[in-house]
Amino acid sequence: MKKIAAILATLAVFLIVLVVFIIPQQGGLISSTSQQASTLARADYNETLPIQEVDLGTSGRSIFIAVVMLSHVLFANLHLGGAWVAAGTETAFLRSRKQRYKRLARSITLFNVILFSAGATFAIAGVLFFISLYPAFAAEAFHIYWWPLFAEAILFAFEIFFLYTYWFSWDRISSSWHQALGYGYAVSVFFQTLMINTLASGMLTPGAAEIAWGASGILTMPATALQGWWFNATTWVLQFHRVAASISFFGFLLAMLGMFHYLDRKDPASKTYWDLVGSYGLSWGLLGLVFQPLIGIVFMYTIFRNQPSAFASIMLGSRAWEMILVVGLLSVLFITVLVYLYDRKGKILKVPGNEKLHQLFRIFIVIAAICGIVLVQPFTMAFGINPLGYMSYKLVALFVLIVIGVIAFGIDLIMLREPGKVEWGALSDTSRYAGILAGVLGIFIIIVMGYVRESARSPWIIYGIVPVPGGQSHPTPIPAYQMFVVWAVIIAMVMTIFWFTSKVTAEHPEKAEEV
Amino acid sequence: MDEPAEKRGDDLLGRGMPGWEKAIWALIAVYVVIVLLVFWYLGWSQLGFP
Repeated sequence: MKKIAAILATLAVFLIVLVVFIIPQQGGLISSTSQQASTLARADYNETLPIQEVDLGTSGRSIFIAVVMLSHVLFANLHLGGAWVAAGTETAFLRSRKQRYKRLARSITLFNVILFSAGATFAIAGVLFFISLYPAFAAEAFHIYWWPLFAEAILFAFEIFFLYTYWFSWDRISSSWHQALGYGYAVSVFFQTLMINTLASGMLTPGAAEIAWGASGILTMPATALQGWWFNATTWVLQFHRVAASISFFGFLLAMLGMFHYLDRKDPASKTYWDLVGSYGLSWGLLGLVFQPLIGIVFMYTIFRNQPSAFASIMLGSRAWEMILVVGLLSVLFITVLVYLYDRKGKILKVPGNEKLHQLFRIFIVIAAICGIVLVQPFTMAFGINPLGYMSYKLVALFVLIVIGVIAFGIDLIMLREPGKVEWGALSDTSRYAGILAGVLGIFIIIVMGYVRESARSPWIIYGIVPVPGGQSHPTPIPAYQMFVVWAVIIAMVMTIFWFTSKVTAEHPEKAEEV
Repeated sequence: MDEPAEKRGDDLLGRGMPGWEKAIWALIAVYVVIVLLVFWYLGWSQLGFP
């Protein structure tokens, strides 16, 4: 437990330093509305309807949108990432005939069936809030994106069809047809997400310098113009970054819920099973995690080429603290997973001949900690440049973390391949709480990344074209301190929902399984 | 039941490794090289970070 206490203490110190020192030093307390006042004054776009206040201060509207959309993203990612995990887990069952994979695939699918309505409810709430709170933007955006949103509606129907038939046809149709339904569910979610990403990405990197409407008809702009809006510079890179992040998020969520069930259940059979689920979830988490920095740098490069002022804001300017928070959480997550593996795999790696591997994990933890220290160094500060914050150092640190991550992933696969060599069901306190912490960090990273993308385009709703209505009296983005409260509320809410849903959907083994 | 782990030792990463897992390690190696190249090209050459 000392290791977990050390991780939590490090995380607390990091957050305190970030909030008390780095954010003020980087100008993070000054709104983008204030910083871009002169640019906003030249904006050729006016909100004509009166502003609807929500009685939560000057950022009230933004807080409403943040709460529903960031919550929605967490539920939506259950499908974007979880669909692949569910279908893949069933594939693992069909290939290995190990009942635990079938039990887990069923549990995941029922979990997603039940929580589908929660995700849809938050999505609809978000749409209603956009229409009510940002009516001019909503009218323009829904008009430009009519066809992608129409396609999304149809793909929603496909998603519902595949998800529900996948669940209700279990053991009632052939395994090959059932797998087709499972992967059909995953593919339909992929394209449904792509359709909404055409809009989400277009808000940061719009396909034109202004909204130029054409004539009435099937297409309200020339086809090439609409194509530029729909498949703008960041559509595809955002899509793949979201897929990797969703798989990672779902894997760490699975590990966390596995650890909760491990603590909740008293029978040895269940403890063995949920121990295995924890390790299995971490494998998916690591798989998604190691892809994110690679796709992330391509994403950053695309923003640099197409929206350089937004790039400067989030990488070097007053919003750079958000990226420091992301990489800080990422580093702590890597260390947490390594600590889990170090303790979890103590038995497998301590056997004669494998001591070097065990020693290697200890070295990995130290190296990952050093990488974390490098990554959280701010670059631009009020007092000048921090020489430790050069991006060249950070790229090396990120690369090293990826190398360590893929090695940890490979080792985890070995453990799952040879489960007979591991004493399952006898987890150390350290590994148990590391699994839980990995889930919390996985959730936290997702909603911070969502905020980064949104604040990158502040004070614009559509960058450089449609400003956030209200001008200087309604500054954006949401102030940092308020945002930490929003994040805390969302994390507490979704963790409660996920756990109680998982209590209902989890299938437990009736007898000890031969591993 | 598997052979006792004490007798296997480094087999975990050596002779006992199935083919599909060797393929995964090969993919991991390829991925690491791709990351290095992309970081090098975009990070240092194109983005021109300090």
